[in-house]
Amino acid sequence: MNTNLPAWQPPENFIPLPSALPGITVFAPRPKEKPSGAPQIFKCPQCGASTKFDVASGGVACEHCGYTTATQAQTVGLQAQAMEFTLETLSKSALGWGVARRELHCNACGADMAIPEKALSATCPFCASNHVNLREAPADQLRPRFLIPFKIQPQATRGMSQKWLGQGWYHPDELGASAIVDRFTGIYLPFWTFSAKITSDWKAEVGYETQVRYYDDDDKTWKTRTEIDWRWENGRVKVDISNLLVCGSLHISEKLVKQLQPFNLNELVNYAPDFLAGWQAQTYDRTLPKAWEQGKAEMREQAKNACYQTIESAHIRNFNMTADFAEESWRYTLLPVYVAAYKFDNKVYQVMINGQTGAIAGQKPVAWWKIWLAIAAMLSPGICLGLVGLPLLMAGGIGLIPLAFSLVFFILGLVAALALYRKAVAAEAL
Amino acid sequence: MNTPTLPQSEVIEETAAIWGLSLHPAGCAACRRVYLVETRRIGQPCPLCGRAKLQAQSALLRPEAPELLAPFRFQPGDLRPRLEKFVNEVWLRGDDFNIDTLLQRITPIYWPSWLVDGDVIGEWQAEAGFDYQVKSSQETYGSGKWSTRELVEQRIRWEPRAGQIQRHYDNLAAPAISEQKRLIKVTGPYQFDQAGAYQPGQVQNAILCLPDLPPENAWPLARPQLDEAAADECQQAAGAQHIRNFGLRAGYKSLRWTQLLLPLYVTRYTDDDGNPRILYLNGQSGAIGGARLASQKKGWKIAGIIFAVAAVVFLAALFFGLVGLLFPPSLILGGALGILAMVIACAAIIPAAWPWQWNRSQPQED
Repeated sequence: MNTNLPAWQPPENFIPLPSALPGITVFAPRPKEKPSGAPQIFKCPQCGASTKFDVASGGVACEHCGYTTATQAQTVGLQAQAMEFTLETLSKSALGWGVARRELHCNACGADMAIPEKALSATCPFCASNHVNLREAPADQLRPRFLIPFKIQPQATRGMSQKWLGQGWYHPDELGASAIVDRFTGIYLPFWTFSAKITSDWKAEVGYETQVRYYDDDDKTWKTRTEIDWRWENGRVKVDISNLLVCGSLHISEKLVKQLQPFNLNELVNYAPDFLAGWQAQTYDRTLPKAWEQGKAEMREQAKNACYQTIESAHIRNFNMTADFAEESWRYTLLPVYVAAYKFDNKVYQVMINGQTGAIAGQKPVAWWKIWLAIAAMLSPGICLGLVGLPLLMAGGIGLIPLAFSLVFFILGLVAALALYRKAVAAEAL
Repeated sequence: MNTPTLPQSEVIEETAAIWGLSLHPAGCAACRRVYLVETRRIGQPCPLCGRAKLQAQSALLRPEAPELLAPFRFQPGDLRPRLEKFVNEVWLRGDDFNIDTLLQRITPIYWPSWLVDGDVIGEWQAEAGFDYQVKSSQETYGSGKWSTRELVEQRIRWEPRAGQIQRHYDNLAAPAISEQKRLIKVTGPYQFDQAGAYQPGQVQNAILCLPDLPPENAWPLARPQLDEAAADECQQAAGAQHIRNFGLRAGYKSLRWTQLLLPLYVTRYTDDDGNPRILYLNGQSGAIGGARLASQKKGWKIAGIIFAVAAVVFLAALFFGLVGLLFPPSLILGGALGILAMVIACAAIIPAAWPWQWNRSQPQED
């Protein structure tokens, strides 16, 4: 039969697709434009100088002539589209970003330069032009679709860090004055957000304390004792977990990243290269399946805790449960962080600031003589009382009371000393 | 959408030789059905209603022979075991409802279905469904450890699609008789793909039921078949696994109507009131359908006999009761017989009520 179809106007914004059968044409809505993956150079159209994202104005600004353009991104917040764990996506994500591209040719001045392996943006050291989307991801790899723009101005970071360094009594006195955090680097770090609904069925032996009267043959008296009555119980708990954050970078201290949280995800915006102009940004190197494993481990622990909370007794044994995950979803986002290092006493310490909320976390040197002095002070009441009580006990037996007090004070002092020690070690650790 | 132009049927006179056969049009005055029959069948009861005799008459008929025919896969004799099972399940059946009579009255009939060929030319739009798989997991905690079981779920992503269509379709079935739906409900479906090209010799000794839905009337029923075929092909063209909300603005051209003949055996029995009851046997699958009534008259008769026995026993009970006035031990026998009489009387209810209860569950004929 003749398959010359008459002229026809497809619905608005529909584009033709290949058809598997002759005589039938197929049209589909035009796909939404993906953010351009092509490298983009930010230059001022007015004076030709390099432009960058300006936190104060919230747009791309020229530092020379003051020309500013507004960014074209829309705030989507928690409505930002979450993706499913399709087999296709998981296999894409597992590829990461492929072979590292270390060389960048600057189209503005023609210079060739080396760039960090995971960098998404860079500044040309020769003409100072800002480049975004340095790494063109192959079509089968994931791109960030949302980010939170920097809200903390770079100028504010120095003051914030100096104030933070001056806090805490067990750090060196001169830390606030002499340690100088030269330059914070604003960097967009990759983060995965995960959400899921978990239905947990648990079963355990739960013990209930009961008071039992018994006759003590030795004392010839009736006494009471506590016995635990074990019963099998079960239950079902439903837990909704939304927007659990897992850092996508393997090169950042997880401990510090945790301390920087929370981020206010209500301020998520659609990804636009404008936000990265003049700022650094990293791609993920913890792939989606790896990050999801970590996220899932946190989620199931939360589900387990929720099950424990429904149990009315503190005595639980043979606990087992299942956690059925449903409606699992994820997002790939970039979140703003300032990173810096400072030297003190010839050692390098790291400090980070949440670029959205200003929360600060980092390493701080510890004046260990202060710690040991404090520990000695904590233990001394117990030791002193012991020293008094022991000769008294040997002399006439009245030293029993001070000895008992010494034991109590010593134990309390020991607990406090251990807590202080651990806090001091943690302050220095990365 | 206007009904496309359809070729007209022709009036066939009494002795016309058509479709390569020497058959004669005949009709039933009671049910108004029209058949093509051999001369010997004129004067016999109508095979599909049994209420009147077939009389020669003219018929409105399409001149071209049927295109396809699904042959009988069973001889009447082969159906005996199925009929036995069908009949023997009925308790208290009427005298006329027996296997030999039914087999004796069995008549082969071919009933028609339209086969429509045509072009569909127009525009379509729909939601195309694409399968995709997502990975989910079930975590199990026990003995202080977590273990993971990964699950893969299939989901459908729906996306709008639109386009044009210009396709030709062959042999889409549409009803040619108004009772096709009821027949299929009673006898079960037919496998159209087992039909072969029509040969006049295949319909020897059979009655051909003629369409009472001419193409003009059958078109509203045929068009959805064309639309459904178009929807299937649009789904294929879009590379989708599913389709929904299919909309078609199309013209239908080059329509060609032919017939497919489907095999059916009919037989009949008469009920208590002397009314004929038709049974249908699918000539392809052997499935049997139709109302199989129990005889209420027989039920009453048996109930009456049982009741009479109860009455006799009751009289004996009375007798022994009276004797008991003189000889007290016989009171015991009288009492026992009285109870027995009541039990027997109660049992008489069963044959009286059972036909009524059974007949209620049988399909009602239109």
